[in-house]
Amino acid sequence: VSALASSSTELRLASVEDNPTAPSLDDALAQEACPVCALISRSTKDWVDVLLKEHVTDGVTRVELVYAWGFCRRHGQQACEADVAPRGGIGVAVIYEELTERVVHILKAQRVDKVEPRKQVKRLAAPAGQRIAELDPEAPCPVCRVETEAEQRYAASLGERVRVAGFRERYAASHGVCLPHLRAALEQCQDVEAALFLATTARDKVRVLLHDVREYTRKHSWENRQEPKLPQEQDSARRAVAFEVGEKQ
Amino acid sequence: MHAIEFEHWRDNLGTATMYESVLQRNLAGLNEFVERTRRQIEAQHPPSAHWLSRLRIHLRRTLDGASPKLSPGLTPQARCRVCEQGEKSAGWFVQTLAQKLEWEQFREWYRQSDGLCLPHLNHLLAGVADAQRRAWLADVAVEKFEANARDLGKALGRSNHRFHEELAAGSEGKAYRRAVEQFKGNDG
Repeated sequence: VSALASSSTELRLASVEDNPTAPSLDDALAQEACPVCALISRSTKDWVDVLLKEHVTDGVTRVELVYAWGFCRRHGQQACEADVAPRGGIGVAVIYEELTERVVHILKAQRVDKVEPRKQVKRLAAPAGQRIAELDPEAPCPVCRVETEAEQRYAASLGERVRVAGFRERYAASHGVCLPHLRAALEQCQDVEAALFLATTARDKVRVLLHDVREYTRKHSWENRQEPKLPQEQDSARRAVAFEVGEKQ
Repeated sequence: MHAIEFEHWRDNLGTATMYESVLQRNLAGLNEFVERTRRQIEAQHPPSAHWLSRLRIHLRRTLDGASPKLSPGLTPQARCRVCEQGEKSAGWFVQTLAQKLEWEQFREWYRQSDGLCLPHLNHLLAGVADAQRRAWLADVAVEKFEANARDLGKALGRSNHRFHEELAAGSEGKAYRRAVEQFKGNDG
Protein backbone atom coordinates (compact mmCIF):
# COMPACT_ATOMS: atom_id res chain seq x y z
CA VAL A 1 0.00 0.00 0.00
CA SER A 2 2.82 2.42 0.91
CA ALA A 3 4.64 1.58 -2.33
CA LEU A 4 1.46 2.22 -4.28
CA ALA A 5 0.89 5.48 -2.45
CA SER A 6 4.45 6.71 -2.91
CA SER A 7 4.56 5.81 -6.62
CA SER A 8 1.26 7.59 -7.19
CA THR A 9 2.61 10.65 -5.31
CA GLU A 10 5.79 10.61 -7.42
CA LEU A 11 3.75 10.42 -10.60
CA ARG A 12 1.61 13.32 -9.47
CA LEU A 13 4.67 15.36 -8.46
CA ALA A 14 6.20 14.76 -11.88
CA SER A 15 3.12 16.25 -13.45
CA VAL A 16 3.42 19.19 -11.04
CA GLU A 17 6.93 19.92 -12.33
CA ASP A 18 5.66 19.70 -15.92
CA ASN A 19 2.98 22.27 -15.19
CA PRO A 20 3.67 25.26 -17.48
CA THR A 21 2.12 27.71 -15.03
CA ALA A 22 4.48 26.64 -12.23
CA PRO A 23 7.47 28.93 -13.01
CA SER A 24 5.31 32.03 -13.29
CA LEU A 25 3.56 31.18 -10.03
CA ASP A 26 6.95 30.83 -8.34
CA ASP A 27 8.05 34.23 -9.68
CA ALA A 28 4.80 35.92 -8.65
CA LEU A 29 5.39 34.98 -5.00
CA ALA A 30 7.99 37.75 -4.79
CA GLN A 31 5.30 40.42 -5.20
CA GLU A 32 3.61 42.30 -2.38
CA ALA A 33 0.20 41.25 -3.67
CA CYS A 34 -1.86 38.13 -4.32
CA PRO A 35 0.28 36.15 -6.81
CA VAL A 36 -2.77 34.75 -8.60
CA CYS A 37 -4.25 38.26 -9.05
CA ALA A 38 -0.90 39.46 -10.45
CA LEU A 39 -0.70 36.56 -12.91
CA ILE A 40 -4.32 36.94 -14.04
CA SER A 41 -3.79 40.64 -14.57
CA ARG A 42 -0.76 39.88 -16.74
CA SER A 43 -2.59 37.12 -18.65
CA THR A 44 -5.60 39.27 -19.51
CA LYS A 45 -3.43 42.26 -20.42
CA ASP A 46 -1.38 40.08 -22.79
CA TRP A 47 -4.55 38.54 -24.24
CA VAL A 48 -6.10 41.96 -24.91
CA ASP A 49 -2.85 43.19 -26.49
CA VAL A 50 -2.64 40.18 -28.80
CA LEU A 51 -6.34 40.43 -29.69
CA LEU A 52 -6.03 44.10 -30.65
CA LYS A 53 -2.78 43.56 -32.51
CA GLU A 54 -3.50 40.30 -34.34
CA HIS A 55 -7.12 39.18 -34.08
CA VAL A 56 -9.49 42.10 -34.65
CA THR A 57 -10.41 40.66 -38.04
CA ASP A 58 -10.32 37.03 -36.92
CA GLY A 59 -13.70 35.36 -37.45
CA VAL A 60 -13.87 33.39 -34.21
CA THR A 61 -12.89 36.40 -32.09
CA ARG A 62 -15.42 38.59 -33.85
CA VAL A 63 -18.23 36.08 -33.35
CA GLU A 64 -17.47 35.93 -29.62
CA LEU A 65 -17.45 39.73 -29.44
CA VAL A 66 -20.74 39.94 -31.34
CA TYR A 67 -22.44 37.50 -28.95
CA ALA A 68 -21.12 39.48 -25.98
CA TRP A 69 -21.88 42.91 -27.53
CA GLY A 70 -18.21 43.80 -27.12
CA PHE A 71 -16.19 43.95 -23.95
CA CYS A 72 -17.66 44.57 -20.50
CA ARG A 73 -17.23 48.10 -19.15
CA ARG A 74 -14.00 47.35 -17.25
CA HIS A 75 -12.35 45.45 -20.07
CA GLY A 76 -13.63 47.93 -22.65
CA GLN A 77 -11.72 50.65 -20.85
CA GLN A 78 -8.72 48.35 -20.57
CA ALA A 79 -8.87 47.69 -24.32
CA CYS A 80 -9.03 51.44 -25.05
CA GLU A 81 -5.98 52.06 -22.87
CA ALA A 82 -4.09 49.19 -24.48
CA ASP A 83 -4.97 50.37 -27.99
CA VAL A 84 -4.49 54.11 -27.69
CA ALA A 85 -0.69 54.41 -27.70
CA PRO A 86 0.30 51.79 -30.29
CA ARG A 87 -2.60 52.15 -32.75
CA GLY A 88 -4.63 55.23 -31.80
CA GLY A 89 -7.65 53.07 -30.95
CA ILE A 90 -7.96 51.52 -34.41
CA GLY A 91 -8.25 47.94 -33.11
CA VAL A 92 -11.17 48.89 -30.86
CA ALA A 93 -12.69 50.97 -33.69
CA VAL A 94 -12.64 47.99 -36.07
CA ILE A 95 -14.45 45.81 -33.51
CA TYR A 96 -17.08 48.39 -32.58
CA GLU A 97 -17.79 49.51 -36.14
CA GLU A 98 -19.31 46.12 -36.88
CA LEU A 99 -21.16 45.99 -33.55
CA THR A 100 -22.60 49.44 -34.18
CA GLU A 101 -23.91 48.35 -37.60
CA ARG A 102 -25.63 45.39 -35.96
CA VAL A 103 -27.22 47.48 -33.22
CA VAL A 104 -28.45 50.05 -35.71
CA HIS A 105 -30.02 47.27 -37.77
CA ILE A 106 -31.85 45.85 -34.71
CA LEU A 107 -33.02 49.29 -33.54
CA LYS A 108 -34.26 50.26 -37.00
CA ALA A 109 -36.41 47.14 -37.02
CA GLN A 110 -38.26 48.63 -34.01
CA ARG A 111 -39.57 51.55 -36.05
CA VAL A 112 -43.30 51.08 -36.49
CA ASP A 113 -43.39 52.70 -39.94
CA LYS A 114 -40.75 50.31 -41.27
CA VAL A 115 -42.53 47.22 -40.11
CA GLU A 116 -44.92 45.25 -42.31
CA PRO A 117 -48.57 46.12 -41.53
CA ARG A 118 -49.26 42.64 -40.12
CA LYS A 119 -46.31 42.85 -37.73
CA GLN A 120 -47.15 46.50 -37.00
CA VAL A 121 -50.54 45.55 -35.58
CA LYS A 122 -48.88 42.83 -33.55
CA ARG A 123 -46.24 45.25 -32.24
CA LEU A 124 -48.79 47.93 -31.35
CA ALA A 125 -50.83 45.33 -29.54
CA ALA A 126 -47.79 44.10 -27.64
CA PRO A 127 -48.12 44.13 -23.85
CA ALA A 128 -46.52 46.90 -21.82
CA GLY A 129 -42.81 47.43 -22.37
CA GLN A 130 -40.58 44.60 -23.39
CA ARG A 131 -36.83 44.46 -23.67
CA ILE A 132 -35.41 43.92 -27.14
CA ALA A 133 -34.09 40.41 -26.63
CA GLU A 134 -31.47 40.76 -29.39
CA LEU A 135 -29.84 43.62 -27.48
CA ASP A 136 -29.10 41.47 -24.44
CA PRO A 137 -25.64 39.81 -24.56
CA GLU A 138 -25.76 36.08 -25.21
CA ALA A 139 -22.20 35.44 -24.05
CA PRO A 140 -19.91 36.89 -21.38
CA CYS A 141 -17.22 39.43 -22.22
CA PRO A 142 -14.38 37.43 -23.86
CA VAL A 143 -11.81 38.99 -21.54
CA CYS A 144 -13.91 37.99 -18.51
CA ARG A 145 -13.93 34.45 -19.93
CA VAL A 146 -10.13 34.48 -20.29
CA GLU A 147 -9.85 35.89 -16.77
CA THR A 148 -12.02 33.09 -15.33
CA GLU A 149 -10.05 30.44 -17.20
CA ALA A 150 -6.74 31.88 -15.98
CA GLU A 151 -8.11 32.04 -12.44
CA GLN A 152 -9.08 28.35 -12.51
CA ARG A 153 -5.75 27.39 -14.04
CA TYR A 154 -3.59 29.29 -11.54
CA ALA A 155 -5.73 28.28 -8.56
CA ALA A 156 -5.40 24.62 -9.56
CA SER A 157 -1.69 25.11 -10.09
CA LEU A 158 -1.34 26.62 -6.62
CA GLY A 159 -3.06 23.58 -5.09
CA GLU A 160 -0.54 21.37 -6.87
CA ARG A 161 2.54 23.47 -6.17
CA VAL A 162 2.05 23.61 -2.40
CA ARG A 163 2.79 19.88 -2.33
CA VAL A 164 6.40 20.72 -3.17
CA ALA A 165 8.39 21.45 0.01
CA GLY A 166 10.51 24.32 -1.37
CA PHE A 167 7.44 26.08 -2.75
CA ARG A 168 5.65 25.75 0.58
CA GLU A 169 8.39 27.67 2.36
CA ARG A 170 8.39 30.42 -0.25
CA TYR A 171 4.59 30.59 -0.20
CA ALA A 172 4.46 30.80 3.61
CA ALA A 173 6.90 33.74 3.51
CA SER A 174 5.03 35.49 0.67
CA HIS A 175 2.03 37.85 0.74
CA GLY A 176 -0.33 34.89 0.15
CA VAL A 177 -3.46 34.77 -1.99
CA CYS A 178 -6.62 36.83 -1.64
CA LEU A 179 -9.82 35.21 -0.38
CA PRO A 180 -11.47 34.63 -3.80
CA HIS A 181 -8.35 32.81 -5.01
CA LEU A 182 -7.96 30.93 -1.74
CA ARG A 183 -11.54 29.70 -2.22
CA ALA A 184 -10.80 28.69 -5.81
CA ALA A 185 -7.60 26.88 -4.79
CA LEU A 186 -9.32 25.04 -1.89
CA GLU A 187 -12.26 24.02 -4.07
CA GLN A 188 -9.95 22.54 -6.69
CA CYS A 189 -7.41 21.06 -4.29
CA GLN A 190 -7.30 17.27 -4.60
CA ASP A 191 -4.83 16.84 -1.76
CA VAL A 192 -6.20 17.29 1.77
CA GLU A 193 -2.78 18.05 3.26
CA ALA A 194 -2.17 20.76 0.65
CA ALA A 195 -5.59 22.24 1.47
CA LEU A 196 -4.73 22.18 5.17
CA PHE A 197 -1.46 24.00 4.47
CA LEU A 198 -3.21 26.68 2.37
CA ALA A 199 -5.90 27.19 5.00
CA THR A 200 -3.48 27.38 7.98
CA THR A 201 -1.19 29.80 6.13
CA ALA A 202 -4.18 31.98 5.23
CA ARG A 203 -5.37 31.83 8.85
CA ASP A 204 -2.00 33.11 10.09
CA LYS A 205 -2.07 35.96 7.59
CA VAL A 206 -5.67 36.89 8.45
CA ARG A 207 -4.74 36.98 12.16
CA VAL A 208 -1.94 39.48 11.43
CA LEU A 209 -4.21 41.56 9.19
CA LEU A 210 -7.03 41.57 11.75
CA HIS A 211 -4.57 42.68 14.44
CA ASP A 212 -3.39 45.58 12.23
CA VAL A 213 -6.97 46.62 11.45
CA ARG A 214 -7.88 46.52 15.16
CA GLU A 215 -4.83 48.53 16.13
CA TYR A 216 -5.62 51.09 13.44
CA THR A 217 -9.16 51.61 14.73
CA ARG A 218 -8.08 51.51 18.40
CA LYS A 219 -5.45 54.21 17.84
CA HIS A 220 -8.15 56.45 16.39
CA SER A 221 -9.94 56.71 19.72
CA TRP A 222 -9.33 59.88 21.70
CA GLU A 223 -7.53 58.25 24.62
CA ASN A 224 -5.03 56.47 22.33
CA ARG A 225 -4.42 59.32 19.91
CA GLN A 226 -0.83 59.81 21.08
CA GLU A 227 0.24 56.30 20.07
CA PRO A 228 2.07 56.24 16.73
CA LYS A 229 0.27 54.44 13.90
CA LEU A 230 2.61 51.97 12.24
CA PRO A 231 2.85 51.85 8.42
CA GLN A 232 1.27 48.36 8.27
CA GLU A 233 -1.64 49.65 10.36
CA GLN A 234 -2.10 52.73 8.16
CA ASP A 235 -2.31 50.41 5.15
CA SER A 236 -4.51 47.80 6.84
CA ALA A 237 -7.85 48.99 5.40
CA ARG A 238 -6.52 48.74 1.84
CA ARG A 239 -5.00 45.32 2.61
CA ALA A 240 -8.29 44.11 4.11
CA VAL A 241 -10.19 45.12 0.97
CA ALA A 242 -7.54 43.55 -1.26
CA PHE A 243 -7.78 40.31 0.74
CA GLU A 244 -11.58 40.17 0.43
CA VAL A 245 -11.96 40.98 -3.26
CA GLY A 246 -8.51 40.70 -4.82
CA GLU A 247 -6.04 43.28 -6.00
CA LYS A 248 -7.07 46.29 -8.07
CA GLN A 249 -6.26 45.68 -11.73
CA MET B 1 -15.80 46.03 -7.86
CA HIS B 2 -17.20 48.48 -5.33
CA ALA B 3 -14.82 47.56 -2.51
CA ILE B 4 -11.88 48.21 -4.80
CA GLU B 5 -13.12 51.78 -5.23
CA PHE B 6 -12.75 52.36 -1.48
CA GLU B 7 -9.89 54.79 -2.14
CA HIS B 8 -12.52 57.20 -3.46
CA TRP B 9 -14.43 56.98 -0.20
CA ARG B 10 -11.38 58.54 1.53
CA ASP B 11 -12.39 56.93 4.79
CA ASN B 12 -9.82 54.44 5.98
CA LEU B 13 -11.32 54.32 9.47
CA GLY B 14 -14.80 53.53 8.16
CA THR B 15 -13.37 50.86 5.87
CA ALA B 16 -11.26 49.38 8.67
CA THR B 17 -14.28 49.30 11.02
CA MET B 18 -16.43 47.49 8.44
CA TYR B 19 -13.76 45.03 7.44
CA GLU B 20 -12.83 44.16 11.03
CA SER B 21 -16.10 42.23 11.32
CA VAL B 22 -15.63 40.67 7.87
CA LEU B 23 -12.11 39.49 8.76
CA GLN B 24 -13.36 38.10 12.07
CA ARG B 25 -15.90 36.05 10.15
CA ASN B 26 -13.21 34.85 7.71
CA LEU B 27 -11.00 33.85 10.62
CA ALA B 28 -13.81 31.82 12.18
CA GLY B 29 -14.42 30.20 8.77
CA LEU B 30 -10.74 29.34 8.38
CA ASN B 31 -10.60 27.90 11.91
CA GLU B 32 -13.59 25.71 11.16
CA PHE B 33 -12.14 24.60 7.81
CA VAL B 34 -8.74 23.79 9.38
CA GLU B 35 -10.38 21.72 12.14
CA ARG B 36 -12.54 19.76 9.69
CA THR B 37 -9.57 19.14 7.39
CA ARG B 38 -7.46 17.92 10.33
CA ARG B 39 -10.21 15.52 11.35
CA GLN B 40 -10.41 14.26 7.76
CA ILE B 41 -6.64 13.65 7.67
CA GLU B 42 -6.75 11.85 11.02
CA ALA B 43 -9.54 9.63 9.75
CA GLN B 44 -7.43 8.80 6.72
CA HIS B 45 -4.35 7.99 8.83
CA PRO B 46 -5.40 5.89 11.82
CA PRO B 47 -2.40 5.24 14.10
CA SER B 48 -2.53 1.45 13.87
CA ALA B 49 -4.81 -0.32 11.50
CA HIS B 50 -4.98 -3.66 9.79
CA TRP B 51 -3.47 -3.69 6.26
CA LEU B 52 -6.92 -4.31 4.83
CA SER B 53 -8.41 -1.24 6.47
CA ARG B 54 -5.32 0.79 5.40
CA LEU B 55 -6.00 -0.33 1.82
CA ARG B 56 -9.65 0.66 2.15
CA ILE B 57 -8.62 4.09 3.52
CA HIS B 58 -6.08 4.56 0.74
CA LEU B 59 -8.65 3.72 -1.93
CA ARG B 60 -11.19 6.04 -0.34
CA ARG B 61 -8.57 8.80 -0.16
CA THR B 62 -7.71 8.30 -3.83
CA LEU B 63 -11.35 8.30 -4.88
CA ASP B 64 -12.58 11.24 -2.80
CA GLY B 65 -9.39 12.87 -1.67
CA ALA B 66 -10.73 16.39 -2.17
CA SER B 67 -10.63 18.79 0.77
CA PRO B 68 -13.79 19.45 2.84
CA LYS B 69 -16.43 21.90 1.73
CA LEU B 70 -15.74 25.57 2.42
CA SER B 71 -17.16 27.05 5.62
CA PRO B 72 -19.84 29.77 5.39
CA GLY B 73 -17.29 32.21 6.82
CA LEU B 74 -15.24 31.87 3.64
CA THR B 75 -18.02 32.34 1.11
CA PRO B 76 -20.23 35.41 0.60
CA GLN B 77 -23.71 34.85 1.99
CA ALA B 78 -25.27 37.96 0.48
CA ARG B 79 -24.82 40.33 -2.45
CA CYS B 80 -22.75 43.53 -2.30
CA ARG B 81 -24.99 46.28 -0.83
CA VAL B 82 -23.67 48.89 -3.28
CA CYS B 83 -24.49 46.65 -6.26
CA GLU B 84 -28.02 46.17 -4.90
CA GLN B 85 -28.47 49.87 -4.28
CA GLY B 86 -27.06 50.70 -7.72
CA GLU B 87 -29.56 48.40 -9.40
CA LYS B 88 -32.43 49.91 -7.40
CA SER B 89 -31.31 53.44 -8.30
CA ALA B 90 -31.01 52.51 -11.97
CA GLY B 91 -34.59 51.20 -11.82
CA TRP B 92 -35.85 54.47 -10.28
CA PHE B 93 -33.95 56.66 -12.74
CA VAL B 94 -35.20 54.69 -15.71
CA GLN B 95 -38.77 54.84 -14.37
CA THR B 96 -38.51 58.62 -13.92
CA LEU B 97 -37.01 58.97 -17.39
CA ALA B 98 -39.89 56.98 -18.88
CA GLN B 99 -42.38 59.35 -17.18
CA LYS B 100 -40.51 62.50 -18.21
CA LEU B 101 -40.52 61.41 -21.84
CA GLU B 102 -44.20 62.37 -21.93
CA TRP B 103 -43.01 65.96 -21.73
CA GLU B 104 -42.04 67.41 -25.12
CA GLN B 105 -39.35 69.73 -23.81
CA PHE B 106 -37.73 66.80 -22.00
CA ARG B 107 -37.76 64.75 -25.20
CA GLU B 108 -35.89 67.57 -26.91
CA TRP B 109 -33.29 67.63 -24.12
CA TYR B 110 -32.99 63.86 -24.35
CA ARG B 111 -32.40 64.06 -28.11
CA GLN B 112 -29.66 66.63 -27.56
CA SER B 113 -27.93 64.55 -24.88
CA ASP B 114 -25.50 61.66 -25.44
CA GLY B 115 -28.41 59.27 -24.92
CA LEU B 116 -28.35 56.05 -22.94
CA CYS B 117 -25.93 53.17 -23.12
CA LEU B 118 -27.31 49.98 -24.63
CA PRO B 119 -28.13 48.13 -21.36
CA HIS B 120 -29.98 51.15 -19.93
CA LEU B 121 -31.75 51.79 -23.22
CA ASN B 122 -33.07 48.24 -23.14
CA HIS B 123 -34.01 48.70 -19.47
CA LEU B 124 -35.92 51.87 -20.41
CA LEU B 125 -37.68 50.15 -23.31
CA ALA B 126 -38.94 47.54 -20.86
CA GLY B 127 -40.70 50.35 -18.98
CA VAL B 128 -42.27 52.05 -22.00
CA ALA B 129 -45.53 50.52 -23.15
CA ASP B 130 -46.40 52.95 -25.93
CA ALA B 131 -45.20 51.57 -29.28
CA GLN B 132 -44.77 55.06 -30.81
CA ARG B 133 -42.63 56.16 -27.88
CA ARG B 134 -40.54 53.00 -28.10
CA ALA B 135 -40.02 53.64 -31.81
CA TRP B 136 -39.00 57.24 -31.00
CA LEU B 137 -36.46 56.00 -28.44
CA ALA B 138 -35.09 53.52 -30.97
CA ASP B 139 -34.85 56.35 -33.56
CA VAL B 140 -32.89 58.59 -31.19
CA ALA B 141 -30.58 55.71 -30.31
CA VAL B 142 -30.03 55.03 -34.02
CA GLU B 143 -29.07 58.71 -34.49
CA LYS B 144 -26.47 58.43 -31.71
CA PHE B 145 -25.03 55.13 -32.94
CA GLU B 146 -24.95 56.29 -36.57
CA ALA B 147 -23.22 59.56 -35.61
CA ASN B 148 -20.51 57.64 -33.83
CA ALA B 149 -20.34 55.07 -36.65
CA ARG B 150 -19.50 57.94 -39.03
CA ASP B 151 -16.70 59.01 -36.72
CA LEU B 152 -15.47 55.41 -36.45
CA GLY B 153 -15.49 55.18 -40.25
CA LYS B 154 -13.48 58.41 -40.54
CA ALA B 155 -11.03 57.18 -37.90
CA LEU B 156 -10.53 53.93 -39.77
CA GLY B 157 -10.13 55.81 -43.06
CA ARG B 158 -7.40 57.91 -41.51
CA SER B 159 -5.65 55.02 -39.83
CA ASN B 160 -2.95 55.38 -42.45
CA HIS B 161 0.21 56.63 -40.74
CA ARG B 162 0.22 59.76 -42.94
CA PHE B 163 -2.94 60.98 -41.20
CA HIS B 164 -1.99 59.96 -37.69
CA GLU B 165 -1.64 63.53 -36.35
CA GLU B 166 -4.91 64.54 -37.98
CA LEU B 167 -6.69 61.57 -36.41
CA ALA B 168 -5.49 62.40 -32.92
CA ALA B 169 -6.70 65.97 -33.25
CA GLY B 170 -10.13 65.26 -34.81
CA SER B 171 -13.39 64.43 -32.97
CA GLU B 172 -13.25 60.93 -34.47
CA GLY B 173 -10.06 60.37 -32.47
CA LYS B 174 -12.24 59.53 -29.44
CA ALA B 175 -14.92 57.62 -31.38
CA TYR B 176 -13.61 54.24 -30.23
CA ARG B 177 -13.96 55.26 -26.57
CA ARG B 178 -17.48 56.57 -27.18
CA ALA B 179 -18.35 53.28 -28.91
CA VAL B 180 -17.24 51.27 -25.88
CA GLU B 181 -19.33 53.57 -23.65
CA GLN B 182 -22.36 53.33 -25.94
CA PHE B 183 -22.33 49.55 -25.58
CA LYS B 184 -21.59 49.10 -21.89
CA GLY B 185 -21.78 52.53 -20.23
CA ASN B 186 -19.14 54.51 -18.39
CA ASP B 187 -18.07 55.03 -14.82
CA GLY B 188 -19.81 58.40 -14.61
